[in-house]
Amino acid sequence: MSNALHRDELLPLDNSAIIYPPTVARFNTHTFRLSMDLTIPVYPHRLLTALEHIIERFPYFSVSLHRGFYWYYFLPHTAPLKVYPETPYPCAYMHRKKGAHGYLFKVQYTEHRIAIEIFHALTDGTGGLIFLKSLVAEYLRLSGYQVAPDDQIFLPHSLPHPEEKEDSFERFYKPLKSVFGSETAAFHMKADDELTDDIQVISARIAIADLKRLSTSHQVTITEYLVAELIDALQRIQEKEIPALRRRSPIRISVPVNIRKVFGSQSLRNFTLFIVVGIDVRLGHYDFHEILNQVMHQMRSEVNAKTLSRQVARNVAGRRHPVIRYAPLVFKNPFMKLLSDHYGDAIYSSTISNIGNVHLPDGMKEVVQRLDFYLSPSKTNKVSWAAIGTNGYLSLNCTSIFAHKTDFEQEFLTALVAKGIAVEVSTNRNGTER
Amino acid sequence: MAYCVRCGVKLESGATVCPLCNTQVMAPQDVIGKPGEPLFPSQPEAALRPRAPRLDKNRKGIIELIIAFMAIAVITLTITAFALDGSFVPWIPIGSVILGGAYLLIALFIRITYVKIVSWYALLTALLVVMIDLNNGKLSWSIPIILSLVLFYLTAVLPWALPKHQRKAGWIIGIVSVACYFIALDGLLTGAIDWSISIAIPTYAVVLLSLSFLILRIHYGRPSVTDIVLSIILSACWGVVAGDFFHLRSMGSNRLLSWSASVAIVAFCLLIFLTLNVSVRRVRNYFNNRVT
Repeated sequence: MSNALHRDELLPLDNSAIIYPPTVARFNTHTFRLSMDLTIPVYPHRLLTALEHIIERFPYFSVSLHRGFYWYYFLPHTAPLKVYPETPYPCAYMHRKKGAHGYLFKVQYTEHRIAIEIFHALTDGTGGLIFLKSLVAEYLRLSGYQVAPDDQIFLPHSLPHPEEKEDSFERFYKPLKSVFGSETAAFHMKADDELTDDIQVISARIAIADLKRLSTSHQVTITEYLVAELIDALQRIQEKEIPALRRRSPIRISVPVNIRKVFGSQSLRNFTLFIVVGIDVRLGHYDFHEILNQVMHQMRSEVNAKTLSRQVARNVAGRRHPVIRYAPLVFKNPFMKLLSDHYGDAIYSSTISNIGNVHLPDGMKEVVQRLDFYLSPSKTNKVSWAAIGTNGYLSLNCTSIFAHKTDFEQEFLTALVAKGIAVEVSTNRNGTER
Repeated sequence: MAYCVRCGVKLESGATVCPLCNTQVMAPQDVIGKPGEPLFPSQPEAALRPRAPRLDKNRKGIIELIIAFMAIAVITLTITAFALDGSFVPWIPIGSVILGGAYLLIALFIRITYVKIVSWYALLTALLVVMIDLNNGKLSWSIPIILSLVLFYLTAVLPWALPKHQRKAGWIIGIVSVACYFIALDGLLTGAIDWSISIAIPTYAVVLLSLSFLILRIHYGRPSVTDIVLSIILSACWGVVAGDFFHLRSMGSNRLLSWSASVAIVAFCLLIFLTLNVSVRRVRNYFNNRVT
C-alpha cells in the first residue's frame, strides 16, 4: 500500500509554521541544515536512490507550498527528486517553487557528507534529524551495511503513524484568556558591519565530557551552561557598545524546546516552542554565577506542560481569531511581516538550539564521524547558535550575517577556553587562509 | 594543528589565520599541518548559487501594505462609480491613488540616490499633471508645467546623471536649456517669439556673465563665504536691472532705467565693495610678502 498523500489532499501548515512563508525575505530564510560526515564515500546516484526509497515513508515531506486565499497550504508534490552538491554557505534562501524543484527540502552531498537543508515550515530540528537518520541508514543499507533498528530511523516500506502528520498544537490546545503579552525589546548587537546573504559560519568542536564536567560542577545542564555563557558574552559586548547603563536593554536568549516528550506527541511536523531566558542589565552588572542561577531557574520553571500550554494557546488562538482567520492572505502577509519582530525576534538577542547528544545505532555509529546543525539567523538577530553532538563531541555552529564581525563568537568561545575547555574552530569565512 | 595565541582556540589542520580574531599563525609548517578535507566545500559557481531575495522583511511588509491599501482604494472607487451610475467618474481618483502609491513604492524599491529619486519623482509629477489636465479631453495648462519639469531635469539632474568626464557637457546643456525654455514658453503663451528674444534671453545673458565672474573667482582664488554671498546678490541685482533695461528698450522708451534705478545703485555699491575687498587684500598681502 502506498504511503503517499492523496493527489488532492490539502495539508494545512501547522500552527507554528504559518509565520514562516510570509516572513521569508532577505536575511530571513527560515531554513536549517543538518549534516552527517561519513567515513565512506557518498555517491550521488546511490544517495538519490536512498532518497527515493525513504521519501515514501515521509509523505508529509513530499509536498509543495501554495498560496491560498486565507492561508498558505501544502499539496502533495511528485516532481522528480534531485540531490545537490553541498554549498559552502548553509541555510540559503529556498524559493518555494524553484529552490528545490518545488520541494521544501534539499538533500546535499560532498565526498563524505550527506546534508539536508529544510525550510522551517515543513518541520523542526527533530523532524529533520529523523529524516536525515532514515536517509543515511537507507544509504548505508544500499552500500551493504547493516544498521540496527532505532526509534528515530524509519524504514522505507513501513507505515507512517497517523500522528506523524498531525498538527499537535491543535490537539494540545486549551483555550486560555489573555495569552497575548509582549516583552520589551532586547539588546541587539550594533550593525556596524556589512551584512551578507551568504551565511557565515564559525564551527566549534568541543568534547562533550569536558562540557559535562564543567556544567555538572555548577549543577546545571549543558544547555543551561551554554545559554549562561552566551548571555555573559552579550553582556560584555553591550558594556563595550553602550557605556551608559540607562541606555542598555535586557539580554535574552531564545531556546527552542522540543515539546514532543512533554506532551507525548509523535508528530514529525513543527512541535517546538521557544523559551526566552535572560537578565535585565539595567539593574547592574551580573557576574557569571548570578547569570547561571537566573538561567537555571527560568528554564526549569518554563519547561512543564502547564506553562508551555500557554504558548500553545497563544499560537493556536492567534490563528483561530476570526479577524485573522477570515482576513485574506494578501492583507495578513504584510502585517505578519511587520509584527513578527515585535512578538519574536525583537524580544531576544540571539538563539541557541541544542538538539543534544544524538544516539546512533550499531552499524551507523561506526560510519558516522560527525553531525552538524546550522540554524539561519535573521535581520534582527544576526547571529544564531546551533548544537548537536555524537561520538563524544559537540558541534556548536554559529551562523551569522555579519560579513566580518565576529565579536560574539570570540567572546563566547574564548570564555570557554578560559575555563579549560578545548575548542577547535573551522570556518567558511573568506579571507581565512587554510 | 596550531592554536591561536590570542584566543586560545585550536585551529583546524592547515589553517594559518584564526577565524575569530584574524591573528596570523606563527608556527612551523609541521605544527600548522596539512589541509585536510575542509568542513565547508569551496565556493560554488555563480550559476549554482541560490539567489537571495532583494528586499528585507520590513521593507517587503511596507510595500505589500501599500499595495493592499491601493487595491482597496481602487476597488472602492470602482464600486462607487458603478453604484452612482455614471455621475461619478473614477479615473482621476484611481490614477491619483496609483501614482500616489507609486511615489511611496519607488522610494522603497530603488536604492535611493539623488539622481534616481528626483528623476522618478519628476516623471511621476509629469504623469499626474497630464492625467488631471486630460480630464478636459485635451492638454492645456499642463504643458508649461511639463516644460518646467523638463527644464528642472536638464539643469538640476542631468549634469549629475552623466559620468564625471561628461559633466561639463551637462552644464552646457543646462545653460542652453534655460534659453530654450524662455523661447518655448514665449511661443506657448503669446503664440509668437516676442519677449523671450528682446527681454528674457539678454537678461539671462547678463546674469550668466555676472555669475561666470564668480565662478572664475572660485576657480582661481579662494573667496570667503561673504564674498560668494555678496557676488550672488550682485548677480541677482544685475538681473533685475538688466530686465528693466531691456524691457524699456523693447517698449521703445528713451529712459535708461525706471523702477530698478535704486537696485542699480545697490549693485554698483556692491561691485565697488567687492572690488575694493579683493584689491585691498592683494595689496595687504603684497606688503606682508604673502603669496596669494
